[in-house]
Amino acid sequence: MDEEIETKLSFIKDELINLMLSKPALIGKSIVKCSVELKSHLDGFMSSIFTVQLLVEDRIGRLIINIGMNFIITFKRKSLQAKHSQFNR
Amino acid sequence: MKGNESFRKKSKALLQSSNEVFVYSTIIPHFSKVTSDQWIAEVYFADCGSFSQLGSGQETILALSDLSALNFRMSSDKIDLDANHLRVMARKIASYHAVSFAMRVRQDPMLENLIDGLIPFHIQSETQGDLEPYKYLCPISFERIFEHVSATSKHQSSKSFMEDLNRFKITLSTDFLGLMEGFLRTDNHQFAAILHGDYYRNNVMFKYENCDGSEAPVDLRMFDFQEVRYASVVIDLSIFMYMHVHASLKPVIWDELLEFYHETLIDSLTGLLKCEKNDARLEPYSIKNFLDHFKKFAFYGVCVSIHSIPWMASAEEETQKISDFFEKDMHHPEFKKLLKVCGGVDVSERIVDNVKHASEKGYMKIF
Repeated sequence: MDEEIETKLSFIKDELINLMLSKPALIGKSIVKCSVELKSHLDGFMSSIFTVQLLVEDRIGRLIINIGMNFIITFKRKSLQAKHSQFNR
Repeated sequence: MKGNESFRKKSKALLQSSNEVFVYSTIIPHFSKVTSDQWIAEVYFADCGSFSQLGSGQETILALSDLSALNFRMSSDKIDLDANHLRVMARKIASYHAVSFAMRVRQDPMLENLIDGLIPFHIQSETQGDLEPYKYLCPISFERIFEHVSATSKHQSSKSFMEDLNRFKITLSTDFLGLMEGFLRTDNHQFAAILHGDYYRNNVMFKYENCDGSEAPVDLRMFDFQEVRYASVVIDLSIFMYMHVHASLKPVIWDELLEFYHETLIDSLTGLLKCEKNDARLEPYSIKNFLDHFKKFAFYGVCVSIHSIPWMASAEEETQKISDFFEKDMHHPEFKKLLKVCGGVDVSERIVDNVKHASEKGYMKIF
């Protein structure tokens, strides 16, 4: 596996998943299990694509519910972002 | 993102991915405030910028729920879609376009903000440069068409088709990019909306249900908004119709599909505006105005289809070669040779049929 892909795998596990947990649907949930895989057959020359299987735990009172979720994560390098900053920040 | 810096610049990939994040992070969340329609997978992260762990470069990152886990999948046929798939595509894109129209009718200032947030993506531009795939590759596909028509007497029997084709040859050699850029104009018509921009089978996933013992598509989700732009709705419509309506189906479904799109558009508009179909504000969007407008812009979809069908309809090995040339050297003479023969006579017949159909419908009277 090349260095760039390894860096992205680590980034997804260490940083991105935590950023995603701030999404309303995931707030208050904690991660039980996370697996990330490069989807080589989806990998076009325009992007790197990964699939993520996430098991999160939701505590409602004394009840613990495990929820499985699947994501597709796409990386595309860019340089022009100034125009969008007014909306994105 | 893969591909070297030069390739990304030529294909304007950097600009495209920036616009795509804007769709996921801002445009569709805003659209979703006014309607319960869903067009995309749920977005968990969409941002562009520097991420220290990924190095110094700028990245765009999208994290979307996996549609395949929600029982959405791509159609099994890459090119020929049946009437059910085509209707689902028409219905979904109509409801998406309707939001822009409703915002314009209501004079919602947010529409201008959303349009202004999209970096214009030109085909011909002094500042951005010309879009090279259209500049170099479309003319090759049209050369293939001219050569196939010249070698096939049955295609020469229609005088009006041959006249249209000969007139188009002049436009192709003198101002093809100007013609394509002209299709993106928004200043002289009321049918501009925030589009998908590249609305065809590879960029949608369908949900299926069993109906009378067989499976039929009932819904879809779109993705890959890299060519999003504010332009005529005919861009989205003509691309998927010319890509996916087979020659045998065109006499049966073409006009019906346009009417179905228009009906859905008006239904969506009346729902969004909470008005009746005879509301005076909807007059600019009448079926007559829509069909007249479609006629002036539909050739855009023909050009995209004759460029894309040879890639999609060829054998896997040829498609891989095409992709490799496209990424590494789109000016390679072997690439030109391949584009003229890939997929064989079937592909030549298919792309010629699209041009003949456009001629029969009067879509080529614009040049």
